[in-house]
Amino acid sequence: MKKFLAVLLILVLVLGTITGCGGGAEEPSGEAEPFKVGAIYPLSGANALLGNQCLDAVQIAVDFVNEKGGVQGRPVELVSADAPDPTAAATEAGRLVDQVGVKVVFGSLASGNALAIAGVTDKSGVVLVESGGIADALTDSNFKYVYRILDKGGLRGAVGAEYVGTSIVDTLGIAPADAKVFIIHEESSYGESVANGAEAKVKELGMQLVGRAHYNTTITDMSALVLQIKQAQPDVLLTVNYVNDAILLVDTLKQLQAMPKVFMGLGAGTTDPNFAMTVGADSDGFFCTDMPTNLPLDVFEDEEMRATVEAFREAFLAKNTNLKNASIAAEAAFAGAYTFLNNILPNAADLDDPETIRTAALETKLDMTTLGFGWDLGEDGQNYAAGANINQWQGGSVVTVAPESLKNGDAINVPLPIANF
Amino acid sequence: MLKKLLNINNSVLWAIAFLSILVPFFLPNRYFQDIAVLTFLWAGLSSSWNFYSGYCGRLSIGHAAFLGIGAYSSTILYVNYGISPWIGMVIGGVFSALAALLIGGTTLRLKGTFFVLSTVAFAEILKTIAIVSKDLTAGSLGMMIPYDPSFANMIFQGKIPFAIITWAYMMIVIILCVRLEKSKLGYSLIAVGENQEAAENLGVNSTRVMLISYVVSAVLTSIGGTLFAQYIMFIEPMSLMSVGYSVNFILYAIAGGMGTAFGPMVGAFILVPVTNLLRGYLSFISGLHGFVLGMLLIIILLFRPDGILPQLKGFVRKLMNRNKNNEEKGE
Amino acid sequence: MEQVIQVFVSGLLSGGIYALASVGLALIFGIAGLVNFAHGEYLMLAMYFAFWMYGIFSLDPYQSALINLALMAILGYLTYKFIMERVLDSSHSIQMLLTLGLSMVLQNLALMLWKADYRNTRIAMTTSTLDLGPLHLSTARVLAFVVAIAASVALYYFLQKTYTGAAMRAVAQNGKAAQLMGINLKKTYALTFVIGITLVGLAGLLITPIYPAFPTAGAPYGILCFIVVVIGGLSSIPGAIFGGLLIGLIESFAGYFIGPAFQQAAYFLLFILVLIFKPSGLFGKG
Repeated sequence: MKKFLAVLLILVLVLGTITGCGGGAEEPSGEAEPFKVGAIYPLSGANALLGNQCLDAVQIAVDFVNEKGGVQGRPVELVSADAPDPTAAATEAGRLVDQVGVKVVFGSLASGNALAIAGVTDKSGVVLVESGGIADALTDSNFKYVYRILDKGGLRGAVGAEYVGTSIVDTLGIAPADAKVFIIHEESSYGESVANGAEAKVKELGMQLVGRAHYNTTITDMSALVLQIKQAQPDVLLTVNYVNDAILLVDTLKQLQAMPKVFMGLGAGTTDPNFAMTVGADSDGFFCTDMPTNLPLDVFEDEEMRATVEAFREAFLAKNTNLKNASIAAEAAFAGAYTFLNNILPNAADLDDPETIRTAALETKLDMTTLGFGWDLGEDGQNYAAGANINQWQGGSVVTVAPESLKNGDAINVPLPIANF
Repeated sequence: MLKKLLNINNSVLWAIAFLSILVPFFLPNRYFQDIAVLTFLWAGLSSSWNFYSGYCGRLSIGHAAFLGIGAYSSTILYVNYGISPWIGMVIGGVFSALAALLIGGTTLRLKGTFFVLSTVAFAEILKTIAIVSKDLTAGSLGMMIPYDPSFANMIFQGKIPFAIITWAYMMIVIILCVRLEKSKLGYSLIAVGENQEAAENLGVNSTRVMLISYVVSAVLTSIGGTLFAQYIMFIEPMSLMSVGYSVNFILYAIAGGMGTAFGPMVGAFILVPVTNLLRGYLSFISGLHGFVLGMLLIIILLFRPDGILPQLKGFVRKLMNRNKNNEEKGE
Repeated sequence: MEQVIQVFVSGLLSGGIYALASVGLALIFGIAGLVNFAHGEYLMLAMYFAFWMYGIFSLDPYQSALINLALMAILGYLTYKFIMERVLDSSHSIQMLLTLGLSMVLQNLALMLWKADYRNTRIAMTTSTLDLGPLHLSTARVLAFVVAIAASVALYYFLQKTYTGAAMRAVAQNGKAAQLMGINLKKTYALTFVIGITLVGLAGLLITPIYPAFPTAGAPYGILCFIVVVIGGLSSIPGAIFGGLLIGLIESFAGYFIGPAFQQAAYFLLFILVLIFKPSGLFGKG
């Protein structure tokens, strides 16, 4: 009897879920028809931490837009989906497109997810606004309705390496050909993309690449890796990590006395405020090249934008009370969603026609978005106004030291006072 | 009389299997059709796993490796050399067979948990190889298959063509399992699974028997790998060749009934839609669907470790009995 | 040369933790014959508990150790009573799959309750370093190593010198015969399981100062402990200790001489080699 009940339970579950969610049809309301958008992020699994933050950010963007009256008078309805891996991302994209009927999808944090989603959405004329995945393939594959707000591929790696090969070698008083660089990165597509960009630039500038290694983010002991670095004695360490491994890396570098003269993080982990907070005063002088992040409000000349950024930060921290700042992934997710809903879609002649949305996306040019750079899409869907800043931790705050136009401080501690060689 | 009943029961299962191809045509939209495709695909994959592990009871938690070999072989050949995935599928099968010979040759004589762990070890090593061989596989960046529909490219518009292909795949594997059950190889395999020593005393060459079925299992899985890659159109090693996917193979077979031809099908038919729907509709609480799946697994194993199939068979049998009784009473 | 010694020492220190986590499994798997694929999850739970003790009561992991271990013992007992006991006589396959389900449940439960955030417990010990000549050792890791080895050795002597220990060994050798001698099988299994879980919990709290707690923190340890136990020879405690240290060393040397990407693959390869050439393990009989 027990056993029969178990079977019954399962069958009921199955039938219940199918009938409970069958249809998804819309009841016509007296007012304007809602404009449905989707958000697909990893909400469980390895990337759940940032995925959930990104979802919060997109939700906030939708809330803001609805407070202002929605898009072309239509309230925005956000449907979320969990994509712990690319296969799930493809299925969930299918659900949002075919079952729920979204017109725009915001995603994806991981490049793998982005590619899987694009494969589904593009065929159906649904827009993908990408604010996380940097893989080149996303805008090199002739997708028509994929628009990426952030920088592409190894751009931030290349920008960082360029700064090293020009500014830093000058300060150190060595020729680029004598500069020794070691690159390490976490092994997912993110680390791989950025490191590739960095390596290409290092070689282009004629610097010596004395080592390149990658590791799995779940690594518990970086001693072997750090000892490799110590062996090679580089002048500059370029590193691509997420927060946790970044902290472990610094701890291990200090402990094994293997800190090079220059520590430059490229994206994600090293730009996270938790990183500097945990590492403490020793972080003074660590570079964290990335999209602009945690910009002081006066960078935004436009009053309305300044207010929006401030409101976003407040709202985000209200949802995430254990954090002191929004992660850059969340800021990017907000920027992508808000810019598209607030600045692009209003210019589309017909919200139900992806071609007019595409026209609006390509023709709308913005000097500035909440992410700190403008919006200028190329035919391939890449935002060519996206850039990376050379930032540096100074006294627990991010100071932008390059490019000249955005700089708000000079670089310090080159070489690092805690350098071991 | 018992035999007749068993035949009827199997007829029911055959009917379900054959008629299931009609389901995608009646589903309301492509999302549900997508789930149908995945259901058939996983039913086929799980049945491939079952071909070896189910019948001789030696769990391989490393089958995702063959999934990966198949997927990468056909994808690399197609994307880099323009070779049709249909051919790539066969070549992938060959590679998987070779890998299975290598792995099987070294591990098949290991008992119980040792064998299981060795399959995990091999799978992890293969995954690492896939990640570090950046020139070949693009490593963790993954490989994307451009959308260029044609039969030769094994790329289709809409979900129905793949529903048919994956259904056919599932049917082929199930038929092979049914043939296996009635063949000498099958009897030997089951005997080895129950008591290896006794079987060997009766003249069974256990190593040969296990190796053959292990290789076949690998090749069948590998074919599914190609279908997987061509359907999703994006593969990357970290999820594709993970223990998580390997566990899926086992999950569906266990739920339905390991070591039976239709068990994995039944398990997949129930669990694949449930998993996808759970994730689709319970995403607002992180981790809830994984939790529910784990609980289901525990409940199944604690209360019905032989899977659901015997349960359903018994249920059908009772129905049949009642009909028979009614007939005999002359109603 | 200095570098190589450092590589060696770092590997050894990591190995100590692996050893401690694994002796727990050597007890459970080697002696009670119970397969537990959720072993790593208990390490994760212990870490979370140590984190909360620090966050709420400002007790560092060493100070809250006793409560933590008591809690782990209770969890171990509950797991045994409600799950393992029912499958004592089932095939290993069933146990494997059951505990696989358990590991999914525990990981996702942690995710649901505490989210995916990395919970760092940073105390003074976290960054403190012992400099011995050219060697630089993380104090926290050294402490973990010392406690781990001490606990493992204590376990060994417990098994060899006490009555209960002897009972456990008897049950491992031949359950029926042990029963005939008056040993209560169920109680022995329960105790074995509880001790095993408590030990892996100890490993968890020892690494809390140096590594964050998050839902999948225990996952790598799950398989790793099995590998150690098999290499060490299933029920052999010294084997598990040695196996753990060996894995730590392999990881370290592979990571240094080849690359961190190969750390895991290296010990998987060793594992396969042991299985082929000496399946009873390096310390096993026969």
